[in-house]
Amino acid sequence: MVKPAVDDDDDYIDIDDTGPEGLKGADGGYAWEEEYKRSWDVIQEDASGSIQSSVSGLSELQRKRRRRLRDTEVVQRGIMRHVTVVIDQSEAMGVRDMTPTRMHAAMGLAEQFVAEFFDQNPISQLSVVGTRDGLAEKVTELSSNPMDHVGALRNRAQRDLAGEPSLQNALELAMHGLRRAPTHGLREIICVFGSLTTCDPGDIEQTLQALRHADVRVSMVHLAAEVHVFKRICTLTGGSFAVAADADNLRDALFELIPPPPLAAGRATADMVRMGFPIKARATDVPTPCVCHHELSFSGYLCPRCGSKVCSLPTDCDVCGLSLVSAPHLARSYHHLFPEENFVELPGTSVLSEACCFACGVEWNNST
Amino acid sequence: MVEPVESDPSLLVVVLDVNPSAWARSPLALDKALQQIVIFINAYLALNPENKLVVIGASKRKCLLLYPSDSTVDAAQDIQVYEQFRLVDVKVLSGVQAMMSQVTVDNINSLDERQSPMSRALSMALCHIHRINEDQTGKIWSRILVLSAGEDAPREYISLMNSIFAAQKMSVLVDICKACGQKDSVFLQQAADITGGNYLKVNSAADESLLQTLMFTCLADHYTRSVINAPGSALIDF
Repeated sequence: MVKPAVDDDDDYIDIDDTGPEGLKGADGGYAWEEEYKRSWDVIQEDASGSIQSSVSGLSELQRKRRRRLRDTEVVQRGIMRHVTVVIDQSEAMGVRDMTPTRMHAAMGLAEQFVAEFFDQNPISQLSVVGTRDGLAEKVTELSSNPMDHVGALRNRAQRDLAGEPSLQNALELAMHGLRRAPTHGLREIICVFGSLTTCDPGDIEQTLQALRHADVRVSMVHLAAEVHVFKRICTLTGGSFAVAADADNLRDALFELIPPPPLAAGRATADMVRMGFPIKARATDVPTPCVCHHELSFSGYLCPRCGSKVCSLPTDCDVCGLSLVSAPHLARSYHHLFPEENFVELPGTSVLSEACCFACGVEWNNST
Repeated sequence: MVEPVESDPSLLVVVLDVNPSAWARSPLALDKALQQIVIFINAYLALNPENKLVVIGASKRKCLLLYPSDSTVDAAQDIQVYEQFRLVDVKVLSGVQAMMSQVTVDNINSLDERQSPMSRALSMALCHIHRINEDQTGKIWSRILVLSAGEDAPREYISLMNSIFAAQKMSVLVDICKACGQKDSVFLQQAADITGGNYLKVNSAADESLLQTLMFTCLADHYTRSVINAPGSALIDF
């Protein structure tokens, strides 16, 4: 839980601040003063001359470490999320430190992010905003259809990069779009930035106050370095700020934002939310129009309140505004709300009483 | 997304619900049903020599791996029957018999006894599928056939849905065949719907044949399902 602190002294570096001393490592030295680590020594060749096993062992270790750190605390989380993704399309995104350019890496990962986001948060909605040349443009409206966003992102990736981004314009536009979102949902803005500068028309402090007033959480993944202004906006609104060192890092940092975040302490809770569970429309001989796309189709779902046909779930009924979901979509969120315990790694199989694995019936061999 | 090819082998995991309270009430006797299931299994194995099979018996208290198991088969060799099939048949039948004989229940007619928890069996099935996928070098398409007899257990909703989503991620089809019982199992209907399998209800009182239903719908593997027309899905109560 993050309590946004109102602290006007943050702008000035004080004698109490950690300063450069906070960067020192555990032994009291800076990272560049330590002995050079030869990471290639870990990889050993096995009997047949192949290094495949030690390479896969390395990635296995990383995966194990990540799994162990999974948060199993049962906290209140925001399940109905309304997220705006802000993509930087300035010249700084054309730098080739990620292959082939930052823009390509970011767009590819943004598509994966959208797909995974809707998989983990089926009742949430997403919209995309791009910023370049000091302006911000809305790429897609808030919707729960992943195909819309992926298609729009692909089109966007073709366009040229120009000028400098404008964080203030992007945040204002995103906030304006999120105004439509109901208050019981969680409002978030996720930014993927590559530029170290921002070209704003006014005072970004006012935008920050407006964001806090509207209860919008801003998180950012930066591709270059930590910028004080960006980090300040993120921490004061209760979001997270991460810097990605390479494409894998960027993927991890972006995907950290996918599970629903714990709610801040002071939020009003336990609202009653009206939702509809539509039934499948009977297959007819004659196609009927749907209210979301005005296209003719044979099958669909009927809204329980007004009876109009929609093509796919989850969505909002265009006629009466009721949120339409199906039970599996809600059940999808349960594994965030009731997380399973972490696995306990045992030192060896000799401590076990059974001779074989309970799940698949295979006998233990004592090397595992 | 890898598309299934006709020659790809399949893995079928059959989950047998041996809820004694439910089978006692059914117009189709358990031994007759088992004979039909065994015929179905033999037909599945005959389709492709590389087809793999796992049979799991699920009761309220235990979840046992029936085939492939290490239990000794002491029936005499029968020259009339193909040996591979005979091994499978005997292991399955003796396994179910052993499970039923271990049941000592006080109040067999209570509501609690009529419910069959399926999530444990489904998780075990998914673990087996994962293990076989790891050991296999080529691509193998897996599906689960649940022969359900009892009713839904409401307290296992979350774990059941978690297993279903895991099955969906692993592209495992879950077919449900309700062999006995009047009530539709809502959770299992959702399971079949989400993973792309079929939900079939066999009304033995009206002389519908379990074997016929299984043969016509559940024998088809991933590739064939894109070509055949599955029986219509009933209105699912979400």
